[in-house]
Amino acid sequence: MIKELSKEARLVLEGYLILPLPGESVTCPYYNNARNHVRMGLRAQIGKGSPEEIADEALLYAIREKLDLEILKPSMRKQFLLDHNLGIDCSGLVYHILAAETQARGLGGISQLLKFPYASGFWARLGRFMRKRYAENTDVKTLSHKNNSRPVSKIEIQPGDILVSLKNNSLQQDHVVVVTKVDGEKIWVAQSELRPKDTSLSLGVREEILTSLDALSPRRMNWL
Amino acid sequence: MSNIVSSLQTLVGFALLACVVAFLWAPVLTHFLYKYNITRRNEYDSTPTRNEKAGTPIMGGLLVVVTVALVTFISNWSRAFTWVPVGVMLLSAFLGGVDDLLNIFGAPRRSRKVFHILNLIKIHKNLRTRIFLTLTLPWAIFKRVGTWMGSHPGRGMHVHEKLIFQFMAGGIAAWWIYFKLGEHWQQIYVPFVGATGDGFINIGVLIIPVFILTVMFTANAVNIADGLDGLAGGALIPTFAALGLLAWVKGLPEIAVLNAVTTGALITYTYFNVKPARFQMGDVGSLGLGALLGINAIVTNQILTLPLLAFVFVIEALSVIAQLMSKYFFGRRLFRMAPLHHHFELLGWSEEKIVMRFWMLHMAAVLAGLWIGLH
Repeated sequence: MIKELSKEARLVLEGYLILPLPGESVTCPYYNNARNHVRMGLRAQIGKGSPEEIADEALLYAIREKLDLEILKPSMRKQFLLDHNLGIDCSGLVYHILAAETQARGLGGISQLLKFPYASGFWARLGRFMRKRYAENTDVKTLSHKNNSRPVSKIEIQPGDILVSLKNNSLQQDHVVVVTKVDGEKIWVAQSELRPKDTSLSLGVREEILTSLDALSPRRMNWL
Repeated sequence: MSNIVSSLQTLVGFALLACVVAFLWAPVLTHFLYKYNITRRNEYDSTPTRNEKAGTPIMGGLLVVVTVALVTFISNWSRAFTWVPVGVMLLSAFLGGVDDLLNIFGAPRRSRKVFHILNLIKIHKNLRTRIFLTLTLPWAIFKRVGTWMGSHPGRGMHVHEKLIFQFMAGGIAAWWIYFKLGEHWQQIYVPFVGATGDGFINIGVLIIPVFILTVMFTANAVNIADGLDGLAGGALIPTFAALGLLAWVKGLPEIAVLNAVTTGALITYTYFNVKPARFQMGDVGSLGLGALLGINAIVTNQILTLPLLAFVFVIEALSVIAQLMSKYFFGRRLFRMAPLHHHFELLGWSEEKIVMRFWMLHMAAVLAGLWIGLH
């Protein structure tokens, strides 16, 4: 029996796979704010925006720079997005998909369901006080915290479950993927990731069959 | 009755005089602006229609500022009433003029991040530089906070520099009103209360920061609204006309004449400023007239009705504040672009449609403000 994400969550994922931009389709690139450390920025520009927010921001930049995105090749459009720090990181993608999934299942807003044990800085607390900066405060460690997740065995895996890898040393990096479809032994996952050897067109959000955990990422990871 | 008609005739006469004076020297100003290439350059942070205006002369606001100062100096120079409003207008206009000229002829200016300065304090090889950076750190933080409130620093004056000048202008206005005009001016008039009480509330010395903030707010608000051809100039006409009428009703003939003169000069300015603009106001006009608007509202005791009398300007300024708050605190844009007129531009409205609709809404609000102010 095939189990899939809800229609709403699937729409969000498809928004990232085909960004709502004019012209040929382009997937949302990977962008992680860890390098630039932008504080209090637009969430579309710190790797936490929804597909619509990312596309809107891209269109605004295009208007300002008098650029017609429609006539650009997909690779150039993707480069344009990257040049303007527009993209999504792994936890941002998972956050938005799970937000749609929890709403569709009638569980309420994800912001009410998630706990934020690591967001203790001033701005994080202020953000939580304002009750709007949840996506920005959601990282892999937050998603995998015992208050937010519990381990499940492989046979129990359902769409909407997450696979988490936490780093053991500085060479590794935290990563999270979300299960989108389960068909018996076959598991489909969606993730946003930057692979150093990828071409500019293949980096970013993708949905693929999970063959093995190591195949998810070429970097050595500590999958939980 | 004949007195009323006579004083009204005087007001209208002054407005006409300013209109004609401005019309007569407008070609001279245009020639001067073209001759010295005081024209708009392409901007980094802008919309396509704004970029189309590259090459249009700026500092056209001089037409209004100089005409108002000249006519007032010759025919309405009153130490008690018109010195300070005109002085503050000229001070703000000077600040705006410097900004305009720096934007055209100045070198690009930078603003270091605070963390960058902290790093330099630790690692810079020169001890003197480290001491200098340490001593000037509070100033650098103030400067940096200023850039959060502004857009791209570009070549012109930075936000913190503008704020200091505007604070000075507001301070002069507050000092004049609080210490020179007597106790009556230390109160705020509350419309509709006149029937039951005396209509005034006394907030003591707190009136000084209220005055300063009002002048700073209106100066920036007009500056912000001056983004489309004809918008700020056209909207200022009913505002100053209403303030003139209110000043006249409240028995302040000098202020009424000052507002009438401003209205007349603005009519000529707007004639040249509607799309396609012969010239644009520039900061010299918007900051100067904004400060004059604030001080005139204070003198005619219309602080509470100012949100209606300066409706478009208040809305435009609030849209910028709301956009910044939304961006910093919620991580999302409230408008496609701030100020509000750029939001409608990006929604596909034509410039003419935005300007006309803003004018009409503004006029309706000014009528409401006038009605309330008369109570």
